Amino acid sequence: MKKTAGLILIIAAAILFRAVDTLPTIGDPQSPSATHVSPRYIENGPKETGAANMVTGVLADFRGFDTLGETTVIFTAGLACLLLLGATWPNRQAQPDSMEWPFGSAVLEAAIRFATPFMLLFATYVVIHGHDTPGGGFQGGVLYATTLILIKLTRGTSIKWAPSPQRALLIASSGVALFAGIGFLSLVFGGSYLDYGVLPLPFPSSTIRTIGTLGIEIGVALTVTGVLLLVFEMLTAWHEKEDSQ
Amino acid sequence: MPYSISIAFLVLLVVCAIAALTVRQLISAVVIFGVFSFFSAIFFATLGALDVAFTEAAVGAAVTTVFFVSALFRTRKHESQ
Repeated sequence: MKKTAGLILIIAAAILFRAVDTLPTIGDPQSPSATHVSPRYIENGPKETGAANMVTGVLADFRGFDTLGETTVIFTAGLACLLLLGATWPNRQAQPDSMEWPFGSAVLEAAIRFATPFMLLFATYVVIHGHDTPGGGFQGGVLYATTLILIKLTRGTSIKWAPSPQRALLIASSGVALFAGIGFLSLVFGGSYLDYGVLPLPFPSSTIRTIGTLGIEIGVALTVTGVLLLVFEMLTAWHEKEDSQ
Repeated sequence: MPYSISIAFLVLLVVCAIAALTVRQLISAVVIFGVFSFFSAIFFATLGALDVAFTEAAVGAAVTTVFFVSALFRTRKHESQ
């Protein structure tokens, strides 16, 4: 059995190494990925979408439907974690007072107090400014989630305003709903799905697309924040349950 | 960006991957895996893929490490018979 597995691995590795040799080199202008739609995106993207960061322009505008699929995948992954780790969720009540976290000290808390506002500000900047610099909804959402997880790790369950699993799920769902809602809104105003350039706003076309992209980025950020918080809550709430027994 | 820098980070990636697989303690493996993520983030940055590098640094190095550690708290040193 082990020998067969090893043999299959060696054959697969040989095929992969052979295939790598035939791939186009990095940055080759003649490679298939650089010859079909890329020139159009590069030449017209910034003008049409108002996004100086071409990655955001492609992800949230030209391929918005693709990104909606990705966001749904993330949301589904969060739901799968909920299903696997929190099967008894509605019946389980976390005990706010009985839980002592392994982390958390006066020094840590002082450090977190100082850093948190800057982290939240940076996350907001990453979401809003993803149009012009690297970043966007996904990265900003991860930063939001990281900040909230950091607070949770330091303060444990003593912190009352930290999102509960229910609220994390609500945040994630509202993100997907915002994304899909912008798509349906453009259907209502006579465009195709997610063609938010048709929204009746008193701005030039590229500005409207900028606003639509920002809405989508906020949706993605909400989804990512909610899902990551949900996964963290599921992982640690399981811990709480074990401890309280 | 010269290729030699990218290759250097690729070599570091392989070293980290092997270290994470061979180290005995799971928590060390998790930390080395975070280092792996940072090196791959820098590698993506040397290729000019800044958005991907940003995502890798945020997700791979920060959130995944936290998730792995939280999951590790649920495990014990020895298998229960």
